[in-house]
Amino acid sequence: MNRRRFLQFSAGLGGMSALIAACGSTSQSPNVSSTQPAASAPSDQKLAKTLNWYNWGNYVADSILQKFKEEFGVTVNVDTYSSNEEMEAKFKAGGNPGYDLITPSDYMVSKMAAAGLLEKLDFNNIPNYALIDPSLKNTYFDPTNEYSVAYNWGTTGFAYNKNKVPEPITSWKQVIEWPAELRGKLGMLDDVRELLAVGLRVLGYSGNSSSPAEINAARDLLIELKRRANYTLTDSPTAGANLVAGDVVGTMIYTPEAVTAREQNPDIVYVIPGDVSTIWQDNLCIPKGAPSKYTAEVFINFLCRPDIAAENANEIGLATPCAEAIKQGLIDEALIKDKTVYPDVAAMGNALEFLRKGDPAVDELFQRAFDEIRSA
Amino acid sequence: MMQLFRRHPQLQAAALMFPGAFWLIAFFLIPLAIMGVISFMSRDALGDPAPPYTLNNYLDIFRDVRFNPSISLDGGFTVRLIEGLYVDLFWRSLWLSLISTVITLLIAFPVALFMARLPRRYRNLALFAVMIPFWTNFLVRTYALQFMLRGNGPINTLLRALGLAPIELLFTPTAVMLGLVYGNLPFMILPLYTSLEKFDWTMIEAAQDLGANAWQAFRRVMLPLVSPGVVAGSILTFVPAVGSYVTVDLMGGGRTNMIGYSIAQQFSTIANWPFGSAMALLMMIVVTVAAVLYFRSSRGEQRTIV
Repeated sequence: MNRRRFLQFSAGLGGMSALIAACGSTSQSPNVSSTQPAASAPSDQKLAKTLNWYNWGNYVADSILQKFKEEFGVTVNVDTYSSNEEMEAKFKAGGNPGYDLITPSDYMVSKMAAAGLLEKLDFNNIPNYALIDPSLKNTYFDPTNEYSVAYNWGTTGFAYNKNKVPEPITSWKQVIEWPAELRGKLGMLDDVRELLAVGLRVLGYSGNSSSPAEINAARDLLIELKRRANYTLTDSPTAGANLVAGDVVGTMIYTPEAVTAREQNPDIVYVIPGDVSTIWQDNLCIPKGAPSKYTAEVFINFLCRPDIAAENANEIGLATPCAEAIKQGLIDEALIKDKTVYPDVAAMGNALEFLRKGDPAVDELFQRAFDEIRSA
Repeated sequence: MMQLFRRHPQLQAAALMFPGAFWLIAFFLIPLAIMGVISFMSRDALGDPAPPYTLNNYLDIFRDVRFNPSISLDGGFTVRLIEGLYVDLFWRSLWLSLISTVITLLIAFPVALFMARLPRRYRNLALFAVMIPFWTNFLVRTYALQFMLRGNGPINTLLRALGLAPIELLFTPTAVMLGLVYGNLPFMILPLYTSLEKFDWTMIEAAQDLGANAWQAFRRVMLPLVSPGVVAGSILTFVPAVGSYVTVDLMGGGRTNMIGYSIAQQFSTIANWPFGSAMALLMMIVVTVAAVLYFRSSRGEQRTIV
């Protein structure tokens, strides 16, 4: 998943992923604020000077890193990745290269925890964890809440230009039945599991199916759609850019890029099709061997503070897991009222589904089906 | 030290070789060997490469191969004897790369010829102009190309202004071809220019004195003499084209698939290192064989005129 501001950047400058550097004046004494955990700071509980965060591209508001620097005197360096597997590979091949904090998506948390690549968090240092929406705890990927704190969540839906399609699109079935007149104007995501999940769900199966027969049926449906609609397969930022430029009139897309596209062209509508869409959640985790675990925990706690969580969510246009920030009315009204950015998870019930990737044998089945679609 | 080298010239040779040899061994041969080992491994429960050693990764590439001779005009003229997902992908990649190499050569040759015929003081300027694109990252240039080809991009805006119908360019096989040719053009021009610059033009005069027409002089005299440049340029163009990834991704929009893209996905999205390694090694072997055959045949060509 690429992230929202990546799109703005790539649309304007040509897609270089920017490295955010939290700059600022160098010598600032730590300013003990009320939000800092009240611990009698043993020697290992001293704040480090710098914190190294391996994060999705443009996935944090710069202003927040600046504030952390001002309040705690810690400079947060951010390196970026564009896929969970790219990030995972850094820790597998020869251990932690020096990162204190990472932001894996749902399935990757369980995968890395199982591989022993994650530290257990010390929640005594993260009192603001209590402010996180309880529905985002005890997840399938961290059932006992030991390794992760929710950072942002969103959905994989469909965005279209309402003036250029014959009727409003509300279901994946309509996407699969894309009209032949709009050939070449449909965009799908170049993501193995997301793409095949659309086929599986329209056929009435789970996006997490592991049955070769079901996966192949979904593949055939998507090949047939490719022959008729000649859809593009791109990443989400490119999908958003294509939609804004008019090269496609409807596209599968992640929430943050859809929000950006909508800001750039008010005719663009984002929907979360009710015939089951993907929900995903990115999480703050500390990788094994992190040089400054305590500082990372203080920073996680900082990110969970309502004012900070709200500022971050408003800037990157994603749903914050900080229930307290929502309760205090700190989220931009336009965002909070938008059921596509803050979907009513309880009401949508089974219409939202996590994609549980990471089983090698199942992944291979999907990848082959995907190669067949791409080559068709 | 210097005296030591003077007394033992072979020691000096070894010292001179060392940085290059070290680089090649540490960053090419050893990783390649590791890849070779991984390509025979299985995957453990977490998907990491692990023993037992097996041929399955290679067999999987050919798993679905069936005999089915066919000629198709779909996406360029292709002739096939066998059919299968990855075999087709290999074949298509080689074919598209070959076409792109020929187009690149046809464009680059006149340019290099023009450069070599320039007055000496302008030649470096021309050379400089060819190398300017290298100052910008290839990814950024490909995004720029994407922008150029969009439905509302400069090319179509110009077409509309001229009262012509806009054409769909971006995310077509044509766009991929354009991207490949664009990206590889300097690598073809530079070796061609080097050969052509050294070309002795009195040879053409001699050929013409002996009754050759312009085409014969070009075909029988000039081309054989500049063939080292043609061979070097073609290999420098063909080999990267087969494995191209960024161009296929950004210009093809998922509508044109090449083997480089599928290999990259094995590593980046499902972390299936054994299968990805097997595909990558097989591709390397195929490309090396193709390059060696080409090299051989061109040496034959040179011999005929000497």
